Amino acid sequence: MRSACGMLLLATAAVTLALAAPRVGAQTGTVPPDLRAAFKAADKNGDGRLDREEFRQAAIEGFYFRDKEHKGYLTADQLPEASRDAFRAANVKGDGRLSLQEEVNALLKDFEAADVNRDGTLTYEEFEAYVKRSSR
Amino acid sequence: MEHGMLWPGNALKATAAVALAVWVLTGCETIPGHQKTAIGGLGGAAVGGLIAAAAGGGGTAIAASVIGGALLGGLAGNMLDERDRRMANDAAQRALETAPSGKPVAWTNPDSGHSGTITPVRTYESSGRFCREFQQTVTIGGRPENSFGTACRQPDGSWRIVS
Repeated sequence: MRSACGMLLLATAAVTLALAAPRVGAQTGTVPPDLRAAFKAADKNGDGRLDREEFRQAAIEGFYFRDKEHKGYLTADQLPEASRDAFRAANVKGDGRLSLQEEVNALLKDFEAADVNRDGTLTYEEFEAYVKRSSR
Repeated sequence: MEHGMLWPGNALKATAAVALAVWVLTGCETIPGHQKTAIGGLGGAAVGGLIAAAAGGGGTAIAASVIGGALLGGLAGNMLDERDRRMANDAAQRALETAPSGKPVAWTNPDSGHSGTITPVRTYESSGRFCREFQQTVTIGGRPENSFGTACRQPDGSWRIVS
């Protein structure tokens, strides 16, 4: 019976993956090589953890440096790592232009999902594990 | 018998199907820990990419300047010559435009022997514009003098000192 359940889950996963096929150019399942350095740079108080404010700060700066033309929004092309579905869900206004507020709100949801032990901070291990398991 | 009517045999099959569906839904093992990806989140790759972008800074400073207020005020400001000021201004523009928070951009004037650094320390958005708090160090005669300020990016790419 367990195997039947497993087959059902596999079938569901296959359909889901087929429907949400990665876009051309999207980086799939990869961890940026400089992820640990980035984590360390975001860890302003150097305690080895990212709290919400440190993470939020990094999200703001990430937006700032991605928005190279300083238009005040990111398009899906400027965020190739995000799936179309994720971009659409984060873009609450639905105008195809991800504002800073929308980006920060979405990343804070990622923060909550990555915070496995729910202590309000991310260790590097939690951060990396989330990046790996939820990269498409 | 009319087609589509639920006869006892069909009713039995329907009940069995519902029971099976309920069993499948309730009998599956739950995945321990958190869900794979946050609903409404951008996903791990985007998180990694954006945090890396924050750490890496970006672009090249455009030919604009830091304007308004006193980038180089106080005693140290009075002791700097014109070239010092120009170099400090260029370094400030470069730091505010391209450097991630915590990364200093330095300037040195070999003629005067004066030097300094500008380090963005926090980035935020205000009224649709990006602003950055910074720490500045000016070293004159081997004595460093620290100051703090905030500058906001203008539509033309220049940075205006607001405090």
